[in-house]
Amino acid sequence: MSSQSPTLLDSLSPTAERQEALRARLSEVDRSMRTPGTFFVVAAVLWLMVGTLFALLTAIKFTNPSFLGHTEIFTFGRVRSAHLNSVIYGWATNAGFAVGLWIMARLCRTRVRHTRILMAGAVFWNLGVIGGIIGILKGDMVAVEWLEMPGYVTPLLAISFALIGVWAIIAFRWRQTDHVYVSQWYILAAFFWLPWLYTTAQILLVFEPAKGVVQSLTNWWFAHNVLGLWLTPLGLGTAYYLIPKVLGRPIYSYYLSVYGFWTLALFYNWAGVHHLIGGPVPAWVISAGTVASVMMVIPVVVVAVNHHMTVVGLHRQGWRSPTIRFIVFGAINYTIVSLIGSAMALRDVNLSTHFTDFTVGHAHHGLYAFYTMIMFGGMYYMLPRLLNREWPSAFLIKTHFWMTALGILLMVNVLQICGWIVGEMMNQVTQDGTVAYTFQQIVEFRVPWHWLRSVSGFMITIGHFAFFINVVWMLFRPSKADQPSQPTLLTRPTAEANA
Amino acid sequence: MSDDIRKQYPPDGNPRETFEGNRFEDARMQRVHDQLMRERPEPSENFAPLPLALTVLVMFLCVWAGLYLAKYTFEFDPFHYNEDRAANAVADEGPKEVDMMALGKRTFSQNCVACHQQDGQGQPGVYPPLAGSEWVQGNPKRLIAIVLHGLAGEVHVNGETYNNAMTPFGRLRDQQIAAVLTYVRSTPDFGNESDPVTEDMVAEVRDETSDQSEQWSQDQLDELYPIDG
Repeated sequence: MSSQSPTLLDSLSPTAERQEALRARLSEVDRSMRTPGTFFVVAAVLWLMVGTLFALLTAIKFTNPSFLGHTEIFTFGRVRSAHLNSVIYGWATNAGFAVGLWIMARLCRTRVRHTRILMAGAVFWNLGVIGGIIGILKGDMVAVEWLEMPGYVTPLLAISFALIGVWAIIAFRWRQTDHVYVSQWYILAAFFWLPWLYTTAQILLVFEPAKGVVQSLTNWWFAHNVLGLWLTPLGLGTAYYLIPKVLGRPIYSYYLSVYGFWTLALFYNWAGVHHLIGGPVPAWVISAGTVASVMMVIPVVVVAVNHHMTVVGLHRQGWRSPTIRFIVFGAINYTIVSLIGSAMALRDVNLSTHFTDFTVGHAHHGLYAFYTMIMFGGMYYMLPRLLNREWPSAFLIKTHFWMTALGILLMVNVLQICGWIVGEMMNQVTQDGTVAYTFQQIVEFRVPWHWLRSVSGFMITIGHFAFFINVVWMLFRPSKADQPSQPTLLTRPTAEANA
Repeated sequence: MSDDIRKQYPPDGNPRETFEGNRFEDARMQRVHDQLMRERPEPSENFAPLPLALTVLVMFLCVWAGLYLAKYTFEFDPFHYNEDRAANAVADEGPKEVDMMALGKRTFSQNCVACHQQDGQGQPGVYPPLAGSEWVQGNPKRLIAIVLHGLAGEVHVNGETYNNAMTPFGRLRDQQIAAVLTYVRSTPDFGNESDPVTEDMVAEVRDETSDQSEQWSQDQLDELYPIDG
């Protein structure tokens, strides 16, 4: 399909714009997102580096517990939570703001107006996260997983989120198109879901704590849904926008898009309960969570089919584009990680995986191999258009891809294989009813695996440095208006080039 | 280049589009828009129907979900926790019998073992032994009183003199104290063979000694609860 030929839908729509005017408008949209989009990307990348540092520290402590263990702020409990919060609220959320708002504005064909308000929200959000991380390191942590940030920053975070999120809604409200594209549903929904999750969890857990097991239910409902109802829709929305955009081929099926979106909305928010299998929670709640987790197979398979049928046959072209390389890697891992997640919600599987490294591997699989890789892809596409510059180095992009892709695959495999074996060891009982392996034996078994995990973390760090250098280099490079422009591709183009 | 653009996008009557079209002719503008010009069109969707295999998979999952929920929801009973157990099995069991020796052993290893040791021998000259001790196998009330309020100063056990302090364990529940003393008095690990201690006895002594605010001395104990009393 030639890049200029209108699609069937365009030719039917009475308001369809001619490509020329459409491109001029996209240029206006990109221009209006330039400052906030760049700010979010830079903040996200800085948080990524900070989060990586905390991650490496945490990983090393598994094999050398005394490493920096004598400084209070670098003890395991604090560094681990600092890692989690800086990657979720610093990296992942800033990246989601950047890419999500930009895609939303582009698809709605609306400029972002009054960017100062958006910038204020962006600055306060990041100040809030900085305050939260300092609070965690200082020891003011709230003892609830995923909500460790102390109470004095959470209202700030909530208000700044409102200031930022409202732009997605404003863009949607004043959209200039008839047809609402699937990425718009996902991104709009995500911007409604996160404030719902965050305020409910804060109220039920911190400000007006619920009694008894309702707390743990709320906790895991929240923690699982930050991934499921905030990051996942942002990741899928980005993939749905960029795969057809870069490859120049329409999404395979509108029906599958609708189906995948609504089944995700229906099932995901139940799934978190499976973290409490075996806990003192009414059995029917767990059963409902297990069923919803297994039913998640439907949206996952639907999205997988939809993406696969769109990409199929264009693999060589995809391999050339940094964007598609990262996004296809992320999309494939979305399918794998979600199917593993459904299996983990089954009681018999959970019996082995619970309380082991398997869960840790699963979390990194979802957050890194799926979400983070897709966000890298989104940034590789978005940043040149915001800054009007090209990526300085294809070599650094390749380094970034190979180090992070191989690193995360190694990490997930190491943690999940080790976790499964440990789960089996912990469940093994001798004939007279005592445990077959002592705590000490299990800890010793894990040591070599955790060395490998540190190696994988080190590879990912190298990849992040490559990305960081490329971003900084690009920021301080002269604008390309005075130079010829070529997209930065990873292999030599054989046909029409496309970044 | 600008001619190509003109051919590709001939201006029509729309003033906005004509304006945009003219802007495209500026060479610098064109370079600025290189990225946009080489972009593919904005994404759109085709309308392929749902694959049949997918529909079958969804039907299969729905049937499984129905069966699973029917089997494991227990009429949404909020007090039913164990998925493996049928709904009414819990009610039939009645209150659970507590194994006092097992509870006692656990309580011992959580609270006492650091001083009195796993084998109940204590440490010579520092902590008195429990195994074979006349204190342990004598008046159970004396023993309960010691656990509740602790002990300080010189004590004489099996002909040896010890001068140390034992912290009070009054925070333990009556049942735990009864269990740990039953264990200490009759476990074959220590070679002791005395009668068990009941919860009622613990409650009684707790009540009698409620005014005691300090650790006991041996003299006080000999007066209130003599060994063979």
